[in-house]
Amino acid sequence: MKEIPKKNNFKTPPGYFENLSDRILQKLDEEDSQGLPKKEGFTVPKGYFEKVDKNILDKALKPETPVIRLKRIRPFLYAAAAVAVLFVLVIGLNRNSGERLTFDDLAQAEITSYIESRDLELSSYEIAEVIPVGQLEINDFVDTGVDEGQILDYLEDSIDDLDELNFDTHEEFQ
Amino acid sequence: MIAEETLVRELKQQETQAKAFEVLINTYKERLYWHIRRIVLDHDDADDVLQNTFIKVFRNIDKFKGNSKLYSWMYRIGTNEALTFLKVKSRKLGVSSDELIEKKADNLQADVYFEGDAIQIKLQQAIARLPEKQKLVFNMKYFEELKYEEISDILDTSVGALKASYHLAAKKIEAYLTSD
Repeated sequence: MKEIPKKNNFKTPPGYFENLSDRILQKLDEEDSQGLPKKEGFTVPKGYFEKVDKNILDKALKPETPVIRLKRIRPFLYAAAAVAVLFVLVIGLNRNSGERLTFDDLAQAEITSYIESRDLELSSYEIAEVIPVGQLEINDFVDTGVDEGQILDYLEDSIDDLDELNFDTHEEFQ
Repeated sequence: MIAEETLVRELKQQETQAKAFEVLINTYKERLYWHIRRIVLDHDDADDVLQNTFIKVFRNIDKFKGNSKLYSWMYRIGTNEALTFLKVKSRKLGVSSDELIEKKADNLQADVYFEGDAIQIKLQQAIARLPEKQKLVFNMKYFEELKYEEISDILDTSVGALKASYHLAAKKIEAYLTSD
């Protein structure tokens, strides 16, 4: 073996390695899409592309009408929505009961449904602006439905030695 | 064809913008239309979104700083407009965007502006069931034949991630087409 010179006599075409990765990826793409139709079947109305220019130009070049920012009228929208909901419920529901209704009597689902059906499109930032965060607690969003007793039962079942949890160091258990 | 820099400059100058805008619409209307049509599937919605896209381009041309190509910027606006359009429409119908697009794909047979055969309908149904990003990448690569670098510029995603998305999309489509 030692007599045979260690020389690679094989050659590659010029630039073979430079575009190898591109060719492999192209082959991968071709294999990925093998057997798929290249034509989609979508069509457009006759003469659509000839007419669409004019429609766009007419709309785009038309002077813009001043836009009243929705943000300025949003507080009024909220107030109007609340008044409308109250009005409908007071009139509608009072016929069946003598009890006086308040905004608190509305089911959350009714308020949500009202807001959704009116397409008020409130972003999370806008909601954050009207709901005082200081008055919120995690339980307002997450209904755990688990009381302290259940937690203790669970811990008792799943942990060998409750003392490991160092309850004594927590003020509520002292 | 007019050079992009010249077109942008003319679009930004009040005295030349109307003419330049006409050139812009003429140059890109078909490519943008088909890009949007593949997202929203039916012609009427595609027409709405196309018009809104060009109007948005016209109104915001001053914000175009030339960091990307003009058509990439327009594609980005068109993509966002189409996705937003679907979100608003689906919310009004009380369904999710995914459900809306799947339903549209399932009803293609009844669309007067669709004349595909059974395999083309099934292909659209398969594409409709892909996650949003994979759907966009597949359409842009397979039907629009854009380069990964161009798609990367439009979707602001790395070329590597796009290749992975395309590969995954193609596999899912193949699985869908060979099912049943």
